[in-house]
Amino acid sequence: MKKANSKAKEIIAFHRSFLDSIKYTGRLYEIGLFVDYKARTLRILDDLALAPKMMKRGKLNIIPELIKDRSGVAAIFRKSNKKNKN
Amino acid sequence: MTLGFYPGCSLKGSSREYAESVLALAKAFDINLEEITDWNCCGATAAHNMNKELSLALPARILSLAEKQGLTEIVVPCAACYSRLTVTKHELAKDPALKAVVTVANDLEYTGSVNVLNIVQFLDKYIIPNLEGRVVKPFDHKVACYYGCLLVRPHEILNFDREEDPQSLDVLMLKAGATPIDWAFKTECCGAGLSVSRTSSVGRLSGRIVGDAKDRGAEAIIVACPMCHSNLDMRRDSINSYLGEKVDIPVLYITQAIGLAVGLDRKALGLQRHFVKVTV
Repeated sequence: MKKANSKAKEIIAFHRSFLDSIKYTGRLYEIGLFVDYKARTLRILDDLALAPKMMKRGKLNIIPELIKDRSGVAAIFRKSNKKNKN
Repeated sequence: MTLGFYPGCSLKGSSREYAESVLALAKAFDINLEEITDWNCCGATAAHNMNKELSLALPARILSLAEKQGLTEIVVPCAACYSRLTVTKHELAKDPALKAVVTVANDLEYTGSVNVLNIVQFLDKYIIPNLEGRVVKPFDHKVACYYGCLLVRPHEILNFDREEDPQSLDVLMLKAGATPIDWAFKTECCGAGLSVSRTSSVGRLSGRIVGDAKDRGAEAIIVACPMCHSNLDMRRDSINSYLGEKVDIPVLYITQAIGLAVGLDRKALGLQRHFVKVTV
């Protein structure tokens, strides 16, 4: 039996994009999140007008913040409940 | 005085004005907020929804790092981060087996000794006792204090303020010279993390909040959560579409409102970064 509501696929896609972002950098990279989410859902046109407005206000970082111990965070993802795939 | 500081991801990006106002206010009251070195994302709603162990292991790493740094108390302005860190402390304290699993995942010492303060607790403990005589420009406006979901719930874990009709933000704003209004949407959900994946729901849920604030004569909405702020401010076009009218009530972080009251510079508080122009 499928556990997830099929109507929630965009919500789950967003969560997966979010977790993938922090798995690799340790912190959320918002531009990366949006790009990955759009690739997963093909909702390419959503919020396109928002990005430049956020940029103008200094609300989007072009370069991701990378923590030093990225391998430690990646290990947390690996070790945390392998039944749940992220 | 030095306290630990966990900004979280939003305060480094889309809600950087919240960090700016927290740090400006702390500096004005001679408090040094020391960032936790090499902190990671708390996992937010995504980890909470997708993987329980991960949702505890990520915040546990942050708390472990704070311990390692010798911090005994940390300020966590984001209501969502505050919720994840506090829930993690609670879960690991009551379940040693789970604590063991999470500690192995983290490969760091964790004792659970760090005290986690949300922004209201920080203001109440360290700013308000020294506020007398510092209010040079009272925030003389009718305000709707919006708490959202994560600042006060789950009450049995956070044990902070009242679950229904909370008052802590209202009391702070009263001290800053404002007139808090009674209204019906203090703890209703704004749509939270559905901002991108289901924007129409955010427009409807946040629209009801902004609509009630407007109907009751609020001149500003006061928040303590970056997600609530984004939804009520950045999603104002969706809100206005839902309401069928243009509502231009600004949304301020509690630290911005108190910062204005004590005479801090508007730019230093990041007010120019908002989507809805701050006219108060």
